[in-house]
Amino acid sequence: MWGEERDLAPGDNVIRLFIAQVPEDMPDQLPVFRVADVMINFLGDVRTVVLYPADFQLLE
Amino acid sequence: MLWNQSVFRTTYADGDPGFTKDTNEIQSVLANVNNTGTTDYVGTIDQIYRDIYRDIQNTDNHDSLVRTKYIVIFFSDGLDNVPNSDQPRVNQTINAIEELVDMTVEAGVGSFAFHTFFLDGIEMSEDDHDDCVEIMQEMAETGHGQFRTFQNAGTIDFISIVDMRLTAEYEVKYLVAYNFNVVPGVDTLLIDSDGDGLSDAEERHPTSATWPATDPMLADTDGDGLSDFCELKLDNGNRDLDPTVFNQVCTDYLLPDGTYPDRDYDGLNDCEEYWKGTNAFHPDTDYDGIPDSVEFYAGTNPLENNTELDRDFDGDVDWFEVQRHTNVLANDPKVRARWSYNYDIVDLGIDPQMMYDGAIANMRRYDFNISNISVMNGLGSYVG
Repeated sequence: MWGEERDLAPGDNVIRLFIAQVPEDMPDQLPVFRVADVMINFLGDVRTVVLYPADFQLLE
Repeated sequence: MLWNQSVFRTTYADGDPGFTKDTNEIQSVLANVNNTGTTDYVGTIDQIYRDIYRDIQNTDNHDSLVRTKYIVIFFSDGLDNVPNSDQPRVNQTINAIEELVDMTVEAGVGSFAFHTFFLDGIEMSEDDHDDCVEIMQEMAETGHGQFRTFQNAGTIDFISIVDMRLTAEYEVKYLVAYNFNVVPGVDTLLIDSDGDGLSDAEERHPTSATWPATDPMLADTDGDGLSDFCELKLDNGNRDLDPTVFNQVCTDYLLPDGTYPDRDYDGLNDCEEYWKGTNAFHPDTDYDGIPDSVEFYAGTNPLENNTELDRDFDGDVDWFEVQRHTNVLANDPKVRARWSYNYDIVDLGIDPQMMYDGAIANMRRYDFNISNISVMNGLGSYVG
């Protein structure tokens, strides 16, 4: 499912955010991807997550 | 950097060889270049290969390679004429450029172009002239560059001829949030505890009578490297792929720690990518901006860049449904009305940022707000 295998606790939801970017003058070029994973537990209180640029990993 | 039989290297301020933007340095190197009368296509391209390869290897921050642009402009006033060689060495020349392109692609370089400029006017036979134009056109095509002919080399304005800019602004092509533990159904959302693309209900009670039940808490029930969903989708109907039977299909990919690699980190391991036919080295095989794994789980085709399809004829095209996490393969008005993700994207303009090397880079900032992402109470899952 995702790059690193891991156990999930009851109620865990893994949400992955992908951002695909291309040079504005060459939109059909191979996109560059940034990705961030967020874990939200259905049974927990957290319902809002704020991500910053450093939270995103550049995929190569 | 200039290559002309021998190499004329520009240098950094500290005297080490390397690429430079210093016009004085470039002028001083240009003064040393002269034409020796021998044209060695293959040798020159080999030298270019070595220098670019070394530059890539010396890059301190490999993340910057995706934003790196290499531009080679290859001038010639005649055919390859190295003594004692077959004339012209077309195949070797094209192969050398192919290797150069492959090397930059594998290194993750953002852009590479090999342009060829023919300086016309040197006395030669018509056949040689035509051969020269033909091979230089093929060289440019192979190197994803342009071919140009000039009668007078004294006044070539490179910047207006080829894209010489050293910076390019990137824009967002696609943005998608994907909850792997929720599957959009026809009328409701379904729990997928192990995130393998099959809902818990489907795993316990398969819709096909010939398909075996699988473990809803284990993405790869038989542990053979192909997920349950993958085996279901890729089986040819003869149960050659069975999610409850350990097949030897991924044995070659197995790492010593017992895991299967996902080298492009797109969510499909390399073995699954092999079976699906997608690129294991890039997360987006069809260049459409939607990662292969998301396309595979959502039900769109990761091998086809087609943003116009609406395969369930519900009025929303597939790429939009993938982004909203609704059902791509069924008319699902209830799901779209109640559980569709909302995206709010604001362009905040250019923001100067200090880079790792102290330079200032103008970066465009966006503010994303994604809401209405449903979470469900799954059973949890374990790694087999």
